[in-house]
Amino acid sequence: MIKKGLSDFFNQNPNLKYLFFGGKGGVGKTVLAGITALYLSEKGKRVLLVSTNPVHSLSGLLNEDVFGREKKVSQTNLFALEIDTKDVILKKKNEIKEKIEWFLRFADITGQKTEDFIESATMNPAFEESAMFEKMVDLMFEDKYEIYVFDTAPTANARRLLGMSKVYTLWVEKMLASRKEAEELRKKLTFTKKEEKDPLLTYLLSFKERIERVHQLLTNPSLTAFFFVTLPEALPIAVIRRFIGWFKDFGIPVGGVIVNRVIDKKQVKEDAPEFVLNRITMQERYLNEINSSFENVLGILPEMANEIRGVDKLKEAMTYLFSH
Amino acid sequence: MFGGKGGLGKTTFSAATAFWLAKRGFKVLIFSVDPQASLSDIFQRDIFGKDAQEIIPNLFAQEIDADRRIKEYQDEIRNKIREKYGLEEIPEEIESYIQAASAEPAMEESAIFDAVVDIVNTTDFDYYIYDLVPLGHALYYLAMSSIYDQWINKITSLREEMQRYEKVIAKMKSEEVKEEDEILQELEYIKRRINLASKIFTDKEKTAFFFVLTPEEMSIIDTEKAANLFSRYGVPITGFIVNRVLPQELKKGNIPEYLKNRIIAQERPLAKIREKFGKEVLGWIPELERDITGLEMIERMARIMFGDD
Repeated sequence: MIKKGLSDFFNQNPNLKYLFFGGKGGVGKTVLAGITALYLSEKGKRVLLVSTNPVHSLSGLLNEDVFGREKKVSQTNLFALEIDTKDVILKKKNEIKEKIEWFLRFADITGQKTEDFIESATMNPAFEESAMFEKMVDLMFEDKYEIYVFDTAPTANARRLLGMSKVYTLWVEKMLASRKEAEELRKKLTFTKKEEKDPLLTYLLSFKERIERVHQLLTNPSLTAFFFVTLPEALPIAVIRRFIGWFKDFGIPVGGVIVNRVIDKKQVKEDAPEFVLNRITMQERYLNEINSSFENVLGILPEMANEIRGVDKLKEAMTYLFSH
Repeated sequence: MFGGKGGLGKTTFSAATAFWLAKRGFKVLIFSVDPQASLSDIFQRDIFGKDAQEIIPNLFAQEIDADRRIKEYQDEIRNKIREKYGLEEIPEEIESYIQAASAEPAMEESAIFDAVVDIVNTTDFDYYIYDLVPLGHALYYLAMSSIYDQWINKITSLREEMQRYEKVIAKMKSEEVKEEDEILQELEYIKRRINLASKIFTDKEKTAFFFVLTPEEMSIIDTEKAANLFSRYGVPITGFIVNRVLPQELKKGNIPEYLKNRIIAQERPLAKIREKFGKEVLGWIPELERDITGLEMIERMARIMFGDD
């Protein structure tokens, strides 16, 4: 089933920098992101494992509180972080506030109502999601690490998160056009010949550049890979089949498929209870389906003896995933 | 409604509950806005983006296509503009604005929100079963209703103020005052809808919210977090359903190591769940030997959940 394993994949793509894990909820994305990040950090890379999920489970996985700040995970060389959007949102609000206030002064609008205006501009419900995306981009541009492993939210979010870069560009271009128009108008109307630079315009331009840069990174197959995690069951398979199609449409590089929680047949004796034998029968059927549906299965993680939590368990699981 | 992290069995329980109610003669609609679209997979029928489809007598299922809802929005906006200004064609810059706005994440959220409100408002089922998207999103919707509310209040009051100014200016210029502010009306309309939706979410009399968890440490941690958030948003939790409980008698048989360990590993979390959620646990659902897809398995799950009657 595995033509090329995960370790081969990383050997053949030595410059990979941004890794994402997608798939149906409950298939073990956080665990697989954790194992992969740990593996790469043990190979001597400086790795940051990031949770962009609105409901974080990374601290739980590592038995260590990594909410809101990058932290080195004890007994490893790995750094981990659960993104906290609260501070980002506040910061963004203040940034926007400054810009709006400046603009209002610039446009000779003064009065009590600016607070309200700013409030309503920043209370947009999609704000949090954009904040998460922004934070992700900030991390990428800080470039403090050689590799970033993103444990993304269930793929629907991931798709939107990545699809958003296109959207931003559209928005910004639109804003730019209208700002330019406003500036032209202002030049015509004003009596002073004083040239004033419009900081909002400058900001929008740099923002546009930023978005284009992200888009470039995310669609570059030598830097970015998206891994899809599934179980040997109908629903998770159906989900990743759908998503792989979407991502190909977005031009986002699909690294491959990882199958989680596969029961090792060698451990099942002939006199095992009906329950176990039936499960194996079902599993075989779905493994065949996976094999015939996806050309790039990179790894299989067996059903582990214990729940994977903590660094020791991650290391144990690593030997399975990277032994091919 | 069934809540909880993705992959714990929300869709399974929704489908089985819908099946059981339909068998007892109630008219049931099960619907989903989850882009992971697993209702089609579980019923083994492509129902995505269609009207409610009858699966068995009394049981209807519907999967909402958010993208299509957005397209419908756009057309509505185009029509309004054409009517209002008597235009044949939508000017190019307005067209590109409509296009870009629809790509905004907020647009998808509100399209989904609208769909939920529409379905509940315009149809007449005895029961609506909502196969909720993963938790983060669910809370997002719930939080949204109050945020939108504030947001619209703000805009509305700003507009009202502007209207007053306009009236004063109009008086000074002795012009006719437009009695109606269409935008204000539009905002009021949106606000009404949002309030309606949030009522649906928070009405204890009519809405039951079940939380799904599994006997694993991480699942318990997540569930506690979620339960706290829910109470913050004023959403009543009706009870908890514990899924994937391994049958103890398996231990007697010759079973692989992993399974033995998993049965043992479940003991502590199970005790913890009893201690934390005890009375509020409505069901302990065993792990089955295969996944739940197709009517036969759904029926089997319904029997497990509700007994054999």
